[in-house]
Amino acid sequence: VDKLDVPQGTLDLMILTILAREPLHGYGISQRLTTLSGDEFHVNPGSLFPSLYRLEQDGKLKAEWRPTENNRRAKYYRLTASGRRQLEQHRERWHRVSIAVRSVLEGA
Amino acid sequence: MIVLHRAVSILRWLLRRDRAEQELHDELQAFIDLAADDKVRGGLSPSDARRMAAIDLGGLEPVKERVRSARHGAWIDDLARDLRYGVRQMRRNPAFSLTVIGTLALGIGVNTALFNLWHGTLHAPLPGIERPETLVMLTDRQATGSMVGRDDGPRKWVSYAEFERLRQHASAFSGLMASQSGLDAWGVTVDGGVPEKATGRLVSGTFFDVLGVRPALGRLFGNLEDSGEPASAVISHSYWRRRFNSRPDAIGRTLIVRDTPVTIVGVTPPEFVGETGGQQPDMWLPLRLQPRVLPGTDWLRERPPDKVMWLHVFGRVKSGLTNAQADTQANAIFLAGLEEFYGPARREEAAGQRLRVQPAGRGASGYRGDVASSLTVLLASAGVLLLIACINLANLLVVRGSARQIEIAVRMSLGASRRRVVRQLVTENVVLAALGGVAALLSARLVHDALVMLLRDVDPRFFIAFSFTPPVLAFLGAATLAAALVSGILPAWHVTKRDPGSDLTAGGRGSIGSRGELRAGHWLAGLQLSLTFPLLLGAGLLVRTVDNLQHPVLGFDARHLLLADVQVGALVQDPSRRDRALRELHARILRIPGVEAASFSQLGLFTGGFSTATIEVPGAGPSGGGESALDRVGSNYFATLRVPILRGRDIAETDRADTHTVCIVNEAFARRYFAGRDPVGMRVTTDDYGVRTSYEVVGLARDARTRSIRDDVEPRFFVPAEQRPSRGVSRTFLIRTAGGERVVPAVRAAMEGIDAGLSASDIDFTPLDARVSLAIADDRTVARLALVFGAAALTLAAMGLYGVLSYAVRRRTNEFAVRIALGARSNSIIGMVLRRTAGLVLAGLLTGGVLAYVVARAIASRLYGVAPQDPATMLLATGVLLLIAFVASYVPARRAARIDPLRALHGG
Repeated sequence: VDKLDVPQGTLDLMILTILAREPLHGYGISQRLTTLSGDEFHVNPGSLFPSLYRLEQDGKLKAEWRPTENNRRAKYYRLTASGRRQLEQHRERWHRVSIAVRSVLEGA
Repeated sequence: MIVLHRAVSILRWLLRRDRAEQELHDELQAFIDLAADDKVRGGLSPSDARRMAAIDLGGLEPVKERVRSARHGAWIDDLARDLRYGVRQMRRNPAFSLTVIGTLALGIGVNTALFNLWHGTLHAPLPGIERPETLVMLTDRQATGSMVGRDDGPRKWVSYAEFERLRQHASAFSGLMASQSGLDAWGVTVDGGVPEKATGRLVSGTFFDVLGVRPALGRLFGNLEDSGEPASAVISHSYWRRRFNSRPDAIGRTLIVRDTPVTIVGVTPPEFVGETGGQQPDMWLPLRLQPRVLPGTDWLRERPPDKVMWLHVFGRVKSGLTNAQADTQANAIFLAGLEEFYGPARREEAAGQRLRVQPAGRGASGYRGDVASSLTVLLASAGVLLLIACINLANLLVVRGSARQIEIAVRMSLGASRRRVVRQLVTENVVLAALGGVAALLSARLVHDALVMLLRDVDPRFFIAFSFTPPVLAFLGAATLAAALVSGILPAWHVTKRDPGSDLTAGGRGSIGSRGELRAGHWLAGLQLSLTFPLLLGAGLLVRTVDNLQHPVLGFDARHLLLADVQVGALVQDPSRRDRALRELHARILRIPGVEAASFSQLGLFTGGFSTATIEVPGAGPSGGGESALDRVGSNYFATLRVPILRGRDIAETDRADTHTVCIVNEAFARRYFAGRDPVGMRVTTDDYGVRTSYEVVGLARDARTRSIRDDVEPRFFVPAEQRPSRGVSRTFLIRTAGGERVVPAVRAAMEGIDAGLSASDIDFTPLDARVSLAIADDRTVARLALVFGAAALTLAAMGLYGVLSYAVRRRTNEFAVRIALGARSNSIIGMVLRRTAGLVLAGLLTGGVLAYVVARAIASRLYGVAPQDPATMLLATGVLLLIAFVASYVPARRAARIDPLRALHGG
């Protein structure tokens, strides 16, 4: 299995994007990431959880324990207003970066 | 905003750690559960699913660890853990810990105590006064003492009249006060007992007000003290405690200060020392008592042509005005006073004299010069000593680090980063150093007391309280941290530099430690040697200086000379009566059995007193005039001192007030004014504001040091005491006697009945040896401490070298065993070890020599009779270092030679 590494610095952006749609727990986020990336990204919990904790500490996320649909309890993360602002800024920047990178690659 | 969030979450994490940990655990557990559920849905058995899910997570603990260390504030956690670990390590090895803590406590304590003295003497504001930063001084803060005559340039002191004038007219100041510049020692009687010496100052009634001090008891001076002859005294807290057991009824008691009764009206707060830092007077008396405290003088009234300048003036500038504005006004008033005093005829006398308004938050400081430079030298050497001690600790830690190599290798292979391990080791060291620092709080106090006792030898009035003021605490903290880092970083670096795998497989058998670590050890030992060198050389030079000073080339016989200071102030107004009394006393002293010879002079020996006159020397060419030093002496002055008269004669008993005026000059005087010609028969003419007196030179005396032990002898002429007017209030009798102080009662008895103006109780006796010894006390104290520091440095360096070599030998045990088994002779083994040392010793000596040269140059001004690059001292210091280095390396070398190959190779 040849998976891609999550590019440096983009994990936070992807977490925020996923959580912008609905609150999710850690496992849900990692699953969603794999699905959305067409099975290319596999995020390691050893990277995912530190990111989640830091985002929470910075006030971008808020967490609460809730039952899941199969009646287990899990910690759900949702975006705060400040998290939403960061998401917009970072997404905007990422767009510019990817356009720039693509034009360099195609122009060369 | 983010900062706030972070702070709150860090706090929450720290305060509710258990809950947070539990939550993290639950969250990861939920991750596994959810993943397992998915896998069961995908067809795995529940137990397989859980196992796979746990593998996907990658292990609970590592993930937790990554979360913990990724969190903001993780360092606080790490620190707490390292601290706990450090304390545990320490308790596991108490002997090691105590060595480290003890060494640091002593090293840091000595440094802190010296810093406190140094800071207190040189930099701290006056203790116990209000807003020291706004206090200004109008006179010269470096000056201490008094002067009669005429000054020029910036004024050192002012006269009483000048102060009064300023106080009345200088509206730019909200307050002005004056204090006697010198600290006097008075005979004081309490409750009719015998007179005891107590120190005190005369001050204006505004003194305490301007400084902003409130009494601890009673009242302080006020307007009352500036009018009439107020017989009041304020005593210091320490005198109150010492002399009155802190009893409140001390207020209202009467003290007899030199025959003048004064009533105690108040006590100052404990920290208050007055306007001169580093001196603690026992009492303060009103300025207006001056004529009664020093009978025969009246320094309150101006008596042209001479001014008596003896007061420092301090004040506070009115708010809204600058110091420069106050300066302008004060000088205008001051100059107007001078014009009036000198009158139009001698207006030029006033030219150039001026006051200078300057900040004086640190107070007057004239006395500080000597002590301060000594303290700087000592503080610097104590710092180097601490550095050497830290290097020793570093060596110790390197060795201990290798004993812990397995533990550290395990930690590193379990994923601890190198930085993390280094940080942990350094933290351990900081714990040790912090304990050392805490212990230093205590040792600093003890060292301080010991140092102050030593410094009292130098200046009996020296006083600096020990207090943990912010600068002192900051210094202690910085010294502690520096010690921790210096001794901790290098070992930690070395311990972690190794490849953990090889350490684990080597298993500690055979070879211990790495080459790099050994190299570090050698390097450190060499550094210690090179740091020790300057301390040793400095100590050597200072000790030789003291030795030279103890046997100074004075130019006269200093043994068996007793000095007796006699007060003649009451007779100042009647010179012929004074001369008669002195003549009679002189004759009576000569008749005392055991007295071989006696004479007297106005200035005495090594008193610091100085007297000059404006002279003209006819026929001496263009250099034939100027100011020259002089002394007024009694008959047979030179014979008594045993200063050879090279030409002509001594002062004789027949040189009286009404006979032909004569003088004797010293060689320096003859060299300057007579340029090799025979001075006998020449004339020296003095000009005292137009009154000219011509003295015929009747003798040439060999140069002798009578004023300062260190300085060159200055040109000086000596006139018979009766042939030159003097307002001096004391005379010093020089009594040549083998009996020492046994003749004291006889001299006292001799004073009885000569004249009511000579009081037998007002006489001070000092053997000349004691005075010379006091004059060099500063040098002796510094030399003694430098020697202690040098010896300590040498010991530490020897220990360091010994430790490193022992370790090296232990590490090479196998190698030596094989060599011995193959027939190597013990001499060749010893040679091998010593050769390794030779390099580092040589390097240490070379760099140390350079350092030592720099240090010797820096202390050159303190040396006497020995050059900074004195080869003998240099050679001696080198020799001592070499010897100690040899002994420290020979012992481990011999141990290497005696290794039993069988036991060593069997791992015994």
